[in-house]
Amino acid sequence: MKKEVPCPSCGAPVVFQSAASIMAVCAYCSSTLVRHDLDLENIGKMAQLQADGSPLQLRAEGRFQGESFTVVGRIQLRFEKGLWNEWHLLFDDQRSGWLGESAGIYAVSFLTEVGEEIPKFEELQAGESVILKKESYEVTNVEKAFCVGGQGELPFQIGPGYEAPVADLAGAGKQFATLDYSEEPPLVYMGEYVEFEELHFSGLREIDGW
Amino acid sequence: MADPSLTAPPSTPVSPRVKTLKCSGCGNPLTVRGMERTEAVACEACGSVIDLTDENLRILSTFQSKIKHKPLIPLGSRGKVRGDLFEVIGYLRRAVTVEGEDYEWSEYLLFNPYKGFRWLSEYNGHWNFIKTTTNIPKKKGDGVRYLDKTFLHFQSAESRVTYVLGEFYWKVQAGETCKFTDYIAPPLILSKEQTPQETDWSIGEYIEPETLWSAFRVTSPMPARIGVAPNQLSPYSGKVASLWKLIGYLFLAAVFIHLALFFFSQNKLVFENRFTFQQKDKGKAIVTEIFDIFGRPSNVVIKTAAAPLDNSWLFLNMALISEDGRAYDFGREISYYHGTEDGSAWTEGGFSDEATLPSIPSGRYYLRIEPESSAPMVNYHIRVYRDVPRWSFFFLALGALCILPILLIWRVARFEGKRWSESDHPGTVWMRIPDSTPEEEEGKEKPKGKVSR
Repeated sequence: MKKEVPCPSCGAPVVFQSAASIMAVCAYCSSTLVRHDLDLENIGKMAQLQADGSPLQLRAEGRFQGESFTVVGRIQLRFEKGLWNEWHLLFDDQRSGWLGESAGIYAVSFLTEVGEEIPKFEELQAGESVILKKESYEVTNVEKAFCVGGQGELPFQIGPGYEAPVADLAGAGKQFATLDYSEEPPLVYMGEYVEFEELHFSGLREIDGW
Repeated sequence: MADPSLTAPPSTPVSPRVKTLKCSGCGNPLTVRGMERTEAVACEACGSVIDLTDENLRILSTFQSKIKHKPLIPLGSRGKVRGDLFEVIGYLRRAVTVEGEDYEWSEYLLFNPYKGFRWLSEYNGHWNFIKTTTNIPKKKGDGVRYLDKTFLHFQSAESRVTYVLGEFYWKVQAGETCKFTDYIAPPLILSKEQTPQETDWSIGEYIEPETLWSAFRVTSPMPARIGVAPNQLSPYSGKVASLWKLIGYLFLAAVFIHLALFFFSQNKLVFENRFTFQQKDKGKAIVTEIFDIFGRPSNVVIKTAAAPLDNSWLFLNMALISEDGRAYDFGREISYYHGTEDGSAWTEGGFSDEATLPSIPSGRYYLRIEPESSAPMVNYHIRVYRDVPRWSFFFLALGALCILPILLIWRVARFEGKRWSESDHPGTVWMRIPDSTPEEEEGKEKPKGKVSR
């Protein structure tokens, strides 16, 4: 599955670990590369990500519910409350997942098909209930997040500065869901909140003094 | 971030570290320990709160406080709390005004780059270790359900920030307000904080100050605890059940002792005789024949029955006298009255009496009886029993046993009264004794409509 292609801009090897990835940011020259059938299109430099003190980094490895994953990409978003990372996880079975991470809060989710109709973004309000896969979720945050930039490989194309209207939802126990209105119909990501130690990370960033 | 030079290894992480910068207000050096997550830092020297997300480090607000508060746990201290290492990076004070009175408490912001943020709060020497919750407690009555526990509503109020020191993950402002509601299930406390933008829930656990003092190696003296904290575990919680058990055992022991006494008592009739009183005998004393009283010093019960009594009385001035002259004097009255009042019949008194003389040593005794009566003639029958088992001792023992639970209930009530005195529900202790034992899950919730509030 793993594919290595030279960066059209600087020639450095660009690795696509997931067959599902259509976009990658060159680790050397920050060129944003979109994968077509045969070649890579350079759509310009990716904006610098903001320092956010995250202990995660590309190529870090971990486990979720007994399955191993590698961190292969990242989208950095700015919310009212601060920076939020969506780390693109590639599981051993080639499944893509997402690890939402900000200031010690971790949530793993997967793109999920739901039978229910998703309320419109404008109609959503914090505190109201939404039914997803026959279960009740409460909207905890509705916000137009702002994309700071990306890193590594991603299953869709992103551009810095694009607005991502998103809603976070909490269900029973640790259940967690995100509604992403950047596409029509909105994408539903469902998963759960996890504690840091449950993810059994290795290959994290070294943090001075910790 | 990614180094544009080809020679650098891919995505070399710049290791996050402690930063120092200068206060835009006074030039005092500031330390930023929360790494890139800190949004605002408050200068100790001048009280300026600086926006770290702003290139020019603009001043967000300035705290003008006459009193300089010193955190009990200094900023920069590191300690392990509940298994994780945290560093104290921020300190703030909040106040609420209830019925014209200000209550102020301290909050310490703790940071760990992997685990994120936690809080320690301190009020009147009581401490809580607090974490933001990711899932939302469910409403239940005027309380909430969380972690299979019912939390009781304690207080709703609005707090304001009165003092800040160090750094925070949001742009903290002087006087910024927040509506909060506290729910308790000791030793836990759930707090709902509401600002116009969002609602946050956090869960706190009562933590012994000694634990913190040793974890953070605090050298300053520990403030004494005043009163009872909302979520302080009652010293009687868990002990109540074992005390009831103990009381149960003591009760059984009392029953057993009573049965034993009952079984081993002589309960023996030692004298019996019938007498007749007539008005002509008035003022004359009768002396019975001598009878024997055996055994260890024990009680003697004199049972008397009298007839006929018809709206009249019989008074017996009696003495139990031993052969060697010791006398136990006692007077007994038997009376019976009846009549009708407002169409209904009433009676008062009866035809018998029982007198107990305690601790009578064995020996030869006789009775001296001096009768008096309002009736012209009364027959009476006297029986003397030795060593009669008494229920009164049993009931006394039961009474003594009741003192313990009454004392316990009183102390529990006093503790809970103190706890609730600062809540929105003072004086409703009995309705609101928190129960920290897990409850049975209620019936599965039915899925609600698509959109409901």
